[in-house]
Amino acid sequence: MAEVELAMRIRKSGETRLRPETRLQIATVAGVWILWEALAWSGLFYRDIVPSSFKVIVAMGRLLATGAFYGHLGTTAYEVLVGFAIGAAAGVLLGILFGARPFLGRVMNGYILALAPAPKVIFLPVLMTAFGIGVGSKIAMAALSAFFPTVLSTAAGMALINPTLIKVGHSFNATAVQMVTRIYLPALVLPVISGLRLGLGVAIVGTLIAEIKLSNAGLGFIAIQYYERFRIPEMYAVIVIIFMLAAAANWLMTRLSDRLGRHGMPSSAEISGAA
Amino acid sequence: MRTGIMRAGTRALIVGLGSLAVLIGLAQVAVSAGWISRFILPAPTEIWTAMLELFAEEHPLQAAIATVGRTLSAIGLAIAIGVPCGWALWRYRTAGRAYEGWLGALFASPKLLLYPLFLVMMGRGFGTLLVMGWLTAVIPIVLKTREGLVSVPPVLIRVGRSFNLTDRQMLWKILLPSAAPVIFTGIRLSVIYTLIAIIALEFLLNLGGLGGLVDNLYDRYDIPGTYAAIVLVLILSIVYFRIVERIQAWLRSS
Repeated sequence: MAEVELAMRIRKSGETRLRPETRLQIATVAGVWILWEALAWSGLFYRDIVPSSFKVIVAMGRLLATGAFYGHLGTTAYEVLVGFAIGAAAGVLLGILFGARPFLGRVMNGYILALAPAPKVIFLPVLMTAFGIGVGSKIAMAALSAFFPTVLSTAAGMALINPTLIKVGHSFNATAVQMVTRIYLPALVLPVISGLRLGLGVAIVGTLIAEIKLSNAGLGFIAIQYYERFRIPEMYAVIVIIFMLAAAANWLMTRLSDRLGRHGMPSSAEISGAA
Repeated sequence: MRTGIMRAGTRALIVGLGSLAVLIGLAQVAVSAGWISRFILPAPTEIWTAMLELFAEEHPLQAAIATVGRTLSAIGLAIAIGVPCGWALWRYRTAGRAYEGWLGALFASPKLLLYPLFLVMMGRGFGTLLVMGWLTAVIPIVLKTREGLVSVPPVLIRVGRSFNLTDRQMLWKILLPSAAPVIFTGIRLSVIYTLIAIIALEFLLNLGGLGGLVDNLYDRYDIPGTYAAIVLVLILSIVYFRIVERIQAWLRSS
């Protein structure tokens, strides 16, 4: 199978030259890079305001060679993942609850819709007074950020569940736990995954913003520390790493939802097996 | 049937507001009794006093106007540049195919975290705020303008040709009106994300507006004042999004 694919790819590349848009993309990258280097070496800017990409790469290499970097990476990953897990779990459970109890859903809907688009960073002072400036407030920030997309997406998914499925569950006298694991969750896989993808994205932003604002560890902390010491190539290196990690997280979640989408919804047995 | 739904909606509203009132009452009791530290959650009455002080001393209305003004300038700038860029991506198809994926990736990326770069280049001021707001606002507008133009039915374009319209007439009489609903979707997205970005940056960089007000009060460790200012940010965002919804409904009906 793989060999056939490879052979086809080789034949294709032999037959056609690079597509025009690919050539334009390559030209754009090259053009922007040359312009950037020209600006960096022109001396028009105060030193390192536009750092040469070589300096950034060297800085990145040095950064990745230090042990301290992995400590900060670990702190950020811990904050994002724990906060995301808390916010996502609360979002899924409350989303199911609001969907299963329409009146409660209607009561809460106004509050959630009012809070969902508000900038969550603004709660940072509250979270810092409650949980301190360390890891606690960052976890809380990630949880708060992840909660809203998850609960909205889950509740929207609940509204789309075929009512017959729910009636079948009730007529079998399913318990609340059975209703959740056998009826709701299997039908909710796709909306929940898409909510989780958005939630993970905003949890990453929330955590890093909180670290940049006030903290003593994490990738956001070292980025802003380099800024304050005017070590700009190092600051660029940290930001590039943050963007690559965020892109990787997004890619993983997209792949997960594509896989589940392509193979249709997994059976309830698979779900309860996974849980 | 309709009145039934309305009644259920009103009942939900009453229960919702009632539970909020009960929650506030419980918070008041818990704080006065000392179960929760006043430095973590000030009593609701204290927040109310702080709110009155805020209005007497800190000019929160001007701050709110500044925040909205910055948001709208960033969006205006984004429309002025984004719509022509979207048109160019439609007109020059190779460019459209080359850059659409990149713009989509940039839209999904945590752009807000780029602000230290602009801080270095432009300093901690209005420029950074405007560029970051613009960057947030422009991407959905470019993408949706292109999408809207791509979806213009070919029949309409042929009609325009058969009337021998000039390129300019074609743009104003056929392409833009037909693409307008999709372009408005892009503007709506940018209207939502830009307010969030502007308030966040005002808070992070202490650059005035309501976000800066929250940061100032927190710096002074005025916790009741901070809570009051956060409530104002929430009210601003609720009112703002209500107005956006109204405008959208009005555009759809007309």
